Amino acid sequence: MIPHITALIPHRHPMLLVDEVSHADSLSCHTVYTVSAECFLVDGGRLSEAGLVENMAQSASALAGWHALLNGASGPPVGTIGEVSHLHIHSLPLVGQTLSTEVSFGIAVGSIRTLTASVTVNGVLAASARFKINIEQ
Amino acid sequence: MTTANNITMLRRKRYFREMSAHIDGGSGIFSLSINPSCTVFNGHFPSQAVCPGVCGIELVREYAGRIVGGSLRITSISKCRFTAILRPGAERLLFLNVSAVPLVPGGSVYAVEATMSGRAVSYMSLRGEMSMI
Repeated sequence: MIPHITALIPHRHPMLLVDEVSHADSLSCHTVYTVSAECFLVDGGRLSEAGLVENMAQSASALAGWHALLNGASGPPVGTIGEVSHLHIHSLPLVGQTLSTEVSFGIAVGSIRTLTASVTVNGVLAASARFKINIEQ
Repeated sequence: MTTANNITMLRRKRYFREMSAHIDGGSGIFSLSINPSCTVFNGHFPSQAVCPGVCGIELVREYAGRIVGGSLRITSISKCRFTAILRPGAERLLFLNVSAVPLVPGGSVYAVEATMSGRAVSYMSLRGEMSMI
């Protein structure tokens, strides 16, 4: 069973942009997040572009956190974004809408992990990007 | 003068204070002071405050809009690199260099390039496209 999100990543309100990891395996995960009006990255009733990027990055960190816990870590690792590329933003989700985020891990070199991520809302692509994330163990 | 139209998200949420601004045509240099008491640091992270990289992206969006005189939406980022971890209070001033040039003369889609640095450290570089809302 996948632990609660607060066991997987160190982020907290108002910068917690994942509610739940609904599926995870060795190289991919799926997360859900319902946009909260209290989120720091909400503006004018919509999740900002920065919020979409943060949602994808936190989803990736959640997968890394789950792997760390499986390997005996006592708490979630801190993940920081090293690079974002090929980012495309198609729409900004409204407060109350639910983001469905898919992450696929690529190669890992030391503490740097490459990955691709995409966000859909009601089945429609809202954003996609490639990342390099630094996971501090 | 600050008006309702240019109170952007991160300014309204007191993430930073603008200390100086110099705009020349399609580019600008801005010096900013991060507010260590901003609520964002309650959650990023509770045990060790770190400036969210995505707030750097948002700063670029907001200041690119300032340069072109309107609100911009990020449509794509070809590359954004974060080259150092920025902690609130680590830099007295941050320097944000932004250029926003229309892809087509008179058009509403802009090629945006930006860097963010402190006194001796480079924190971020970004290249992307933004469109007028």
